[in-house]
Amino acid sequence: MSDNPSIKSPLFCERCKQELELKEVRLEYLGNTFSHIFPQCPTCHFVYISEEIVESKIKEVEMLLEEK
Amino acid sequence: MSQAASKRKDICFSYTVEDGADVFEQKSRCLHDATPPCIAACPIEMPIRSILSKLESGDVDRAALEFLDKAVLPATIAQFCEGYCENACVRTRLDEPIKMRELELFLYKGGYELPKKRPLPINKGKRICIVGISIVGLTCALLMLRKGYSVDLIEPSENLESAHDELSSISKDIFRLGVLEDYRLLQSYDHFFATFGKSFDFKNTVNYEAILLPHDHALPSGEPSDKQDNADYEDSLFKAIQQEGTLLVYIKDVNDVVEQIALGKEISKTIDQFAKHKIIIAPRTRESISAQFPISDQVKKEYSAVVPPITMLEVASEEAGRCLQCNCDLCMNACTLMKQGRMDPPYYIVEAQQSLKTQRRLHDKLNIRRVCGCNQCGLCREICPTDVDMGSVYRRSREIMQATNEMPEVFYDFWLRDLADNEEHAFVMTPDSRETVKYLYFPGCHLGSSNPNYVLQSYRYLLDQFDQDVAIDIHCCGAEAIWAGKQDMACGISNRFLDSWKSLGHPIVITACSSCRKYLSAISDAIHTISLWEVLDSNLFLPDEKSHREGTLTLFDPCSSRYFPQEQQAVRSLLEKSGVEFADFPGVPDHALCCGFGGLIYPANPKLFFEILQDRTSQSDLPYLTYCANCNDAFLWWGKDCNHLMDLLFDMESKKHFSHAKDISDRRKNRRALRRSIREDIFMGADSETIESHESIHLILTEEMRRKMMSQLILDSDIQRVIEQAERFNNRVSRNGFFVSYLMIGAVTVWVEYSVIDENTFDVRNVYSHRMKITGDQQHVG
Repeated sequence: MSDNPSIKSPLFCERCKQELELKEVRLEYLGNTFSHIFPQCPTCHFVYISEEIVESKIKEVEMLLEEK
Repeated sequence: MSQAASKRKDICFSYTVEDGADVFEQKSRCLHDATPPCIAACPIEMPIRSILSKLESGDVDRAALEFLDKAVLPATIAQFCEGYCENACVRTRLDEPIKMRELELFLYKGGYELPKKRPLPINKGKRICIVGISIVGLTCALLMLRKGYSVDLIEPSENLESAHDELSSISKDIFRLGVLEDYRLLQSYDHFFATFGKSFDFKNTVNYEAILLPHDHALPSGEPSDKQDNADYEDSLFKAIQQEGTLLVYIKDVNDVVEQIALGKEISKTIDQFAKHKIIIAPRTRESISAQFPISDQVKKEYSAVVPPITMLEVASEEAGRCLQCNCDLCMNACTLMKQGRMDPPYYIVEAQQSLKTQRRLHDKLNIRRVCGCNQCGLCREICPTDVDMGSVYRRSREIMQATNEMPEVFYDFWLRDLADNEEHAFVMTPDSRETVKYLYFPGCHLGSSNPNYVLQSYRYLLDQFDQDVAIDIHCCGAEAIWAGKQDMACGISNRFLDSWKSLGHPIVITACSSCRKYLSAISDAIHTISLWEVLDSNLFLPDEKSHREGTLTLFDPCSSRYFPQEQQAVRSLLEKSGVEFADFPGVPDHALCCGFGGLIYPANPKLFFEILQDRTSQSDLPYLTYCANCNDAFLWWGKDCNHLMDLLFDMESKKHFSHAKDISDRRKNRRALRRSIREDIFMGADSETIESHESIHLILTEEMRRKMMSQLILDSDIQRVIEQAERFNNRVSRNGFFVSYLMIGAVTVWVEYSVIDENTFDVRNVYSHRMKITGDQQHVG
């Protein structure tokens, strides 16, 4: 998976009152796990997944895994 | 059992046969690539389809060579075959059989010669002896010569012409014009030796692999051959005896010329196998086709039979073009799923067999989109001449995949949660709290959610018509549980219905959805069902004048109505009496089709779902009319002008506060509104519906956003829940003045981008979802 597209303006965690940082996050589907870099809150670990990533990468992988 | 009843019997639960065996048994029934009647009837299995196909396209050379190769004695066949194929020709059902004999004559007279193949070295030097000229013998001789064996012919007559006197079974003409002509083929081989004027003597035998003898020829011992009790092989046509490494073959009398050639072929195979392996292998029996071979709609029917004789290629090609190239493709042409796969029908069965294995090996490829792309409409079985039932194979596949946890949860998650929502608030109610009733109205879970008026108006009518003796049951019939492969859930649903129906005194069940009717009928033979349309029609129902629709409508019969022709008839009768102009749906003539919704193929196979909807809605430019809420809503969603029959029968305007559902969120609202209205307005009771906290959230949603939500099967209430937890726990991130949060709902994670208008009002900027789960994050599970 390629890197995230550049963020236009910073994402801010409302609960912890701090900016999200790029971190490696694990995703799982149908018994398979993937890592990818996503903005994540360092304190509460809220992960932000943009629609662009969903449309460009995640959907495709989900479809392939379903057909395996 | 009537045909309709037997179809109902094994619709859902009674798949009791061993799955694998049953699938292969169905595969063997499939007529695709089965031997067509003409070839099955031909004693020598002439490849008729292939020859005619080549001839039609002008490829005379290859057509002729194919004929010469298979005929073995072409002069005899072309002139004297009685035409078994013509007697069996399927084309006869349209006009006249293909004039195969004329075409064979045409090919024979073309003067073609079969090129000699290089003989197999293994056969070099091996010798066969044919005693006496006969059609069987000459056929066998030629085939052995082709393979490279040396052949000695020993004929007691003085010369070739006088050999006929010994052959009582064939006429002079056949001998002169057929046998003598074909004899020249033997003479073209240099390892063929003919001896005339001598009797065959066992003592003078060279080391022959086999000797072919007439049945009345003596054994080596001098006794007649029918005295031999222990033949190594014997059937009605020939007897084979091993004698010191040589095979003695005694041919019996066979009347027909072509049968004689067929026998000669069988014997040559037996001799060849004996020469190689010194064992006798019995010839296989010819298969016969008993099923009526179907005529596909796709074939050209316009040519008319030619007048013989056929002397020109153009005429021969045209006659050959009349061949229907019989190969059953009925299901492939009728079913969108099978058309899309572009495979031959038997391969669908083989492919589906992968999914029936409860333990699959790594390389067994399971085509999940296809298994979950079947609408379960029953068309394949109905249209198949031998009742091959792909639908039941796919349904069973889903059941096994659910049981082994191989089904991706997301495929049926939304529908099963929707079913649970319906069941949670479902009820059975009887007027005046009476214990038993004569009728039970079962409208199905989608009719009322599509438009509550559909159920309310029709139930009011029934109460009035039958003196209040009608209960109402708004549970689900279990169709969606069956389609999802959830056997246990489906059984639970049908058991609940059965218990309820029994305690109500075995009422007659009135249905308003043919799928409900199909699945309820299958629960027990004791359950009598009748459609609302038949009740309306037989009680001389007069539709509300305000509901009349001008212009011609295309009538779309829902798929399950195929099992209830009386329902289809009643609908038509109602429309005629109401003065509604309608035309039958073009599609597949005389067969109801699926609208695309059935089988819950969305979201499991979205591509196919869209393809089917596009196909159905573009079959006619006229507005559509149907009598199934799912068909109606599917077409409406795709943008087609469509009405439910209810719209034309009852006045939908009288209850203005109910509206037709535009999407899945509306359906949920309508479902609750219907329950409330039945309880309060019809039964004069109180409704104890609780409002959940998230439902107080007001959303501002554009049309575009609603369509996006619909395509991802996201409800208003899902968004309300995401926003509620985001606001309450501050589980949200912000950017540029708007907020983003997510929540796992069912099998998907739903994301919402929103801005706050006030305490209870939120403007939804964007909604999206995915199936992957974020691991190790428990706080956002809904």
